Amino acid sequence: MRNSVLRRAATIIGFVLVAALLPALLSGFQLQQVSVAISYAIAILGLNLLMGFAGQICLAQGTLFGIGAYVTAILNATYGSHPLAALPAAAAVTALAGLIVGLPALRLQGLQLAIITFGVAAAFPQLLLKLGTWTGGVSGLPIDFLEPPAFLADNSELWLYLMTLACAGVAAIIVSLVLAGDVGRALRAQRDSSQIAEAFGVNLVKTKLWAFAISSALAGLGGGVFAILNGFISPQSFLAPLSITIVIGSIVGGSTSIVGAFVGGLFITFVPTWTSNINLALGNVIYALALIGIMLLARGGVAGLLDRFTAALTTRSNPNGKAGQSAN
Amino acid sequence: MRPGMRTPKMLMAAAVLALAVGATSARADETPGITDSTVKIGITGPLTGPVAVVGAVAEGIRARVEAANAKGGVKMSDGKTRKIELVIKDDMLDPQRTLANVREMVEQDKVFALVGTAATPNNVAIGRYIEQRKVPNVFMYSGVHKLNAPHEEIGFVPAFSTEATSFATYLKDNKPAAKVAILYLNTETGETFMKAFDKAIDGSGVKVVDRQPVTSQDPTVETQLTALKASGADTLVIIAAPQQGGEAIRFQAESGWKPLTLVTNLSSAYPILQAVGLDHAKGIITSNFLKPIVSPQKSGDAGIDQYLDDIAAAKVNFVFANTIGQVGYATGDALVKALEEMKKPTRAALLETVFNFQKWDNPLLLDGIKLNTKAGSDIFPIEALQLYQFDGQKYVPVGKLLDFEGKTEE
Amino acid sequence: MTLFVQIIVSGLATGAIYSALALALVLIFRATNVVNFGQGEMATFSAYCTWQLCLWGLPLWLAIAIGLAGSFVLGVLAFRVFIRPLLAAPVEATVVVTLGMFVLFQAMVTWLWGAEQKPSPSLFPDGGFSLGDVRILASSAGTLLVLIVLAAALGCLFAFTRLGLSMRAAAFDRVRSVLVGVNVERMLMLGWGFAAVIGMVAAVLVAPRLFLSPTMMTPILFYGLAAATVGGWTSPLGAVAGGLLVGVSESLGANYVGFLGADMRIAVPIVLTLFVLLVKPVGLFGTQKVTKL
Repeated sequence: MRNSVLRRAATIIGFVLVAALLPALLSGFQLQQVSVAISYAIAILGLNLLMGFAGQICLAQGTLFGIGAYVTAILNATYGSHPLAALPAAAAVTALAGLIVGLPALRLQGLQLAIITFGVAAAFPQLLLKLGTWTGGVSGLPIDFLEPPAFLADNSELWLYLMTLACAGVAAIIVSLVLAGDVGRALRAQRDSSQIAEAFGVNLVKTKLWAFAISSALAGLGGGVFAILNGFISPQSFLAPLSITIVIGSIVGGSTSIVGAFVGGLFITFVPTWTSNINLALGNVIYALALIGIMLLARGGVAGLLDRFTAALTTRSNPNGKAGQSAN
Repeated sequence: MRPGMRTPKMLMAAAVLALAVGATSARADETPGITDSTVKIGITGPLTGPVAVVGAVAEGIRARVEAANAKGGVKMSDGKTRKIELVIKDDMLDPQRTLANVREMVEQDKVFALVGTAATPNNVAIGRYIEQRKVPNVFMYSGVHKLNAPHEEIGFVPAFSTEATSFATYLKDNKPAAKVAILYLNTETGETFMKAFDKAIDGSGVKVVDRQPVTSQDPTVETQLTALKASGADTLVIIAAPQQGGEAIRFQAESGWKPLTLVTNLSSAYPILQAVGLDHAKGIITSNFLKPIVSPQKSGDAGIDQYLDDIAAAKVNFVFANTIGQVGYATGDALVKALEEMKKPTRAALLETVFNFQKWDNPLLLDGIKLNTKAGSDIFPIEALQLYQFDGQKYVPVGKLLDFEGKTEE
Repeated sequence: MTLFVQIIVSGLATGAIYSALALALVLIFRATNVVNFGQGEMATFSAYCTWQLCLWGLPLWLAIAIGLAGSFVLGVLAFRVFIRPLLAAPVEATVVVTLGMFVLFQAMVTWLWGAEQKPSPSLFPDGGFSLGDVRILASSAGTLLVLIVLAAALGCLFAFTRLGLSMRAAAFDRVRSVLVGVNVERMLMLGWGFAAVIGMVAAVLVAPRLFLSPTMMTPILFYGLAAATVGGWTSPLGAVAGGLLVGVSESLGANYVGFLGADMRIAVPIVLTLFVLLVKPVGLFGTQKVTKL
């Protein structure tokens, strides 16, 4: 018990230190990239809840992310709403969309669900083009620049970063609360064995749909933040591979961890750019090898490794063996 | 339960603290990216991913720039000779990555200007930023020219509408009662093309009987072409990315349909026809503004021979007949020339130069086609095309050069 | 009526391409219980190697023979290096590694041969023949024929031979297979090798139609997965049938469902797959419900 409190404190302090130091250490451009990474991390947080804790595979998280981005952009560009005011609406609409995507999950599992959701991800860019009158088609939609308050007037990157962090904080709180509550227990119970969970009175339909709705709401929130950060969106940013990339981020970070979601978001934003900067022609080869290498070294994701590390620091003995799971 | 519940407040507090430590904002220098001996230029384009073929633009530019550097550099009007330092980044055609790349190049690498930025949505994505930072974005590889940074950007290749008008003119003159079926890319490219085409055939005997959309992600185009064939059309217009365009060219021949086929220069390059099978491509009509380069042997044309030497020296990753690579090389040449001609080594002077081309030559443009622009009235550097018909071995010119100078539809 | 038949024929031609990838996916699943997302890209890599051999002047049959042998080695190597260390790890790790292989092989092809399309030599004659007013392409008919023969042979291998039985056992339950004397690792290795060979055959069959390019197989990945699911993940012939069904229904949907059109036709296989899964979760020809990723 004492150990877990210590570890929790260590994680929070580490987190705060990193988040606070970043603006001082990084240039405006780099800080902007960190913000983009955090917007992905919000979507990954949702996916972790769904995949890591509820055991449901969704290969359409990038699509839901895109829906959030488009709702934000449409509300802002067409209806003149303030971008920030559009974010809750983006989360709500995406949660509804997620419920629809999640309906087949009541009957399907694993690979079956993965294929259906992947189909949705593949169809999404086409749908955006088809609904060109709302989405602006391939020309995309602009989003108003988020004017910083007076005291940050000449540092808009920092303002955007703080806004993104605040949204990520809300997302992390939601996930923590869900996991601590009844829904979270039900989720884990049905992941481990749906029959036993049902025998103990868990309503599987309600539980699964909850998981999809919350996960999608977070994807929508992340997408809305992403749209604000970029100031412009078009279908080309939400192709099917984005959903795969988000799954990669989730698993590389550690799909049963909140810290892991942030690690994953940073990974999918920065590592492809770094490898491409190392060698333009061989960038993706290096990226692929890095990806495979990480999975070979850290099967439970990077968060699992970090967790073992902090565990070793705080307990000095009896390191918790099961990496991925212990991150709960 | 996880930690992190109470973190946001702390994060906010800490971040505000960090703010007090003081992050400074960079103010735009008068002429970043230019020293007495170098000028830094940035390129972003899809070097990998499903449309990596377009990455040949960057390669072509590199070939021309390396040739200039091998001669010592570019002699500029202030008397200094500068080498061009290229910064090339891969965006996989994702507008978000284009913006990230541009920001990195502008803020971190401190480039002087951007050149050859590929695709319409990607140029729109960076528009607001480059307008704010006053970074020239010259010779965009996009057939739509008027985007959202009108003071900082200029295109290069002819607008899609120019090609559409040339196709319509050909049909009106040679097949006045043509029944046309169109396979169109369902992006801005296809829409711009069709709008101009419809306008140009309005009131003539040429009628469009069916249209089918295609995307660059479509695995095959059999479905669309089966429908187009069944429409009873005797003429097929193909506006598609190279893979789907190639499949369509093969279909119209293999299926026994053999309509009069007009293919936009997106997918009519010689290497594509080789993949399709030269026999299948016999008779197709396309347009080009570049000199046809049919052989890697010296041709006697100074511009082509120089091009062949330069791409060999730069070891580019495309074959000599690749028209996208050729456009890149032509773009690189225009860049070198613009740097030579600009009156001062500043961004503003570069823009003034490219907005006021006065009938400049280019080594790969067809004889009779010059780069011509005028600030305020003409933002289209190339506005003339030549139609070609493929005879099974090579492209043969059809008719005279079609010049639309000053008449491009926006 | 002619149009209707022609639409079905063009659906079959497209479906044959989906079938080819589905067959390779099903084989590796049957033999190793893993869905290899990198299968298509590995196959593209093999097809490029074959093309390169042809370019160096080898006759087509010899190039293909060497390519097939090389693919087997490639599959075995991929298993030894990337998959074997993860046999005891959670399945997510394996999924990410196969996605990593997807990126790796695509990047290697782009790096080695560039992004331009290459003309790929075809096993079948050019052109086609007409039955009444309906036009059938020789390459489509040939592809389909080869696939059916191959699928039947694989079906027999799994159903009737000792090797097939051992492979199925090794894939199904690694621990208990060891107890009954199956050399599990060797079976899995063979499974990866064979799957790579089938993948290469698929790539060589479809390359002349799609043109050889680094991303040749990428857009058909979803269709291949859908085809395998519709046909049933345990049946090679089912994979071929599933591919054809997906192709035909997609072609019909694009032409006869007005609001879909050619640009939203991908909705057809999604709905079809969902429908099949809800009605017959094992797939049309499958025998075993597959939920593991």
